[in-house]
Amino acid sequence: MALDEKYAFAGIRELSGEIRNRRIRSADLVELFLSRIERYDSKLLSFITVTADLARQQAKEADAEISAGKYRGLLHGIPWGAKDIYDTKGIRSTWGSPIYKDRIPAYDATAVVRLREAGAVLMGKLATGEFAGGARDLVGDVRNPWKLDRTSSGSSAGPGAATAGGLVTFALGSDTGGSIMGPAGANGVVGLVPTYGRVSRYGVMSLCWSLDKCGPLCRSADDAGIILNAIAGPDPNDFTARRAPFPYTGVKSAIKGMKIGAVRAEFIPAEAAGTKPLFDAALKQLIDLGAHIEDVDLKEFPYREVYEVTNYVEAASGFEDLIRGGHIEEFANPDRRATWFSGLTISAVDYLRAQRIRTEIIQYAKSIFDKYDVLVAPNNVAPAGPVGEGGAGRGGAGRGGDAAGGAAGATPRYLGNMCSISGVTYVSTRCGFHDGMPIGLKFVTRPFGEFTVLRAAHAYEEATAWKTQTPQFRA
Amino acid sequence: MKASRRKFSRALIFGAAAAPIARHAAAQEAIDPGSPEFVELHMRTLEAKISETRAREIREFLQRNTTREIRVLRAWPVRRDLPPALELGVFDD
Repeated sequence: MALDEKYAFAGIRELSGEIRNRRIRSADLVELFLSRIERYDSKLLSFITVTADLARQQAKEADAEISAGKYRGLLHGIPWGAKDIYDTKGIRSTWGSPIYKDRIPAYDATAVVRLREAGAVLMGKLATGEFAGGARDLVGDVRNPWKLDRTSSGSSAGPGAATAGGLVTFALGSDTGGSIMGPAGANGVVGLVPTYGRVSRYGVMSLCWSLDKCGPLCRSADDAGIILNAIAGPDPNDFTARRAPFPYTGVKSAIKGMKIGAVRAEFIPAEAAGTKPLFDAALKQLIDLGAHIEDVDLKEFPYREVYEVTNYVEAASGFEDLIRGGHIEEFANPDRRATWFSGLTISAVDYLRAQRIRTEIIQYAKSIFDKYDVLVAPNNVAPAGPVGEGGAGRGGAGRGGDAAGGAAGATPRYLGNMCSISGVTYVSTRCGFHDGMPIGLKFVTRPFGEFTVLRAAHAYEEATAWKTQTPQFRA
Repeated sequence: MKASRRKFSRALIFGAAAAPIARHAAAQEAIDPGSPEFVELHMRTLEAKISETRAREIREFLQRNTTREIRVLRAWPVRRDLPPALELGVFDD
């Protein structure tokens, strides 16, 4: 049965109800998405590998189980995509690089296993900026479904574009220094960066061991909670994955009395970008919902320098063989060639100095939430820039995601850097449009405070209608 | 000891110490990121395997970015007893 296109943009809870009650079948949902991938992905370039046969098989199994009364939960029969740094057994997993274009892993990442066990249906491997950096991979630059001449940011470029474009219901991405936040803002989807240690990274390409987090890109804060519930938890294969329960059954939308700190410096560039009215309206909406908001200034630290040194050194250590072997010439992402090499030149003492300053930053970041329930700030003050700029990176507006600061556009860096290096949790949700392109608002809270940020985002979403608009793939 | 001999002894001691100190300072300068010698030392092993354009890009990046970042961090005051944040897998719940 051919499904109405509206299902391509439905959230998990709505689809789950339809599938469970057998008003629609997972198999028909898969055919809808495959049809849309065929129609639109030659323009988007959001998929590296489409797993059509696997998706059909998993959907068939899901429908059979549900018919037999074996219902696994809200993700049963729901199509999703995995950033191509998540290993999938027997399925090409390229890390976005021509160097690994034929890499076939022998096992699944833990997060992939957990979603399979939840009954979710894998549509394919999604484009990632090469080695989790930027928006350019072995296929090219991922496009934005709102305007095809704009970037999808990075490095979770494929997850952002495919989710926004209605080619999957949700995706798993990763964030080291903006790689979920960037695409979430650029594509107007919800992106959640869980606390460092919430989600096992076993089987996920390691970029920076002390910075990498795995998280969802999806349609709503509620969807993010559902997905995190499935993938979070300890893993004997990843000792950094904490035993920290996340028993998600839904999120309240009441934020009356919530104490919110608006990071003032982060809002300043919105004036020049023309998006100040959107953020003023968003803050007013939060106040109307009963939250108490006051301006806050972040304490001065060398956030960016700590982030960059940590990033360069850990990435250089992890990929030392490629760098010393001269393979940087083969990289698709030009940013990586210089930044990774620079990591080899930084001394151990300088790296440790950065980590010692980082200890103070972590202590400070936690202390902020003794006073505030959440911080709020723009995720992206400006819409996604032209293709080729790739997302927040060095130099500000638009190069290679995976640098703290978030989405494409002129975005302040300090809160983003602080979030990346302190391991706190944060979520971005759509707060309007500028020049026909989405703009995102970000909520941040203490480690393991995902319920709080999701509550804030959910309350805002329920009070506004931003998520109902869908992209038209305009050239 | 006569003043002239004390002066001579002092000069001998400090002069003798000055040479290794000067050599150490030179070595320290040479290994500072961004210094020409430092960049060349690291580029030498890589250059045989990459293009001239790539080598130039890397040199410029090191001199423009890495040098600045290291110097900012070196200038930032850090308590001597402050340990590095290497145990990030362990947060209080």
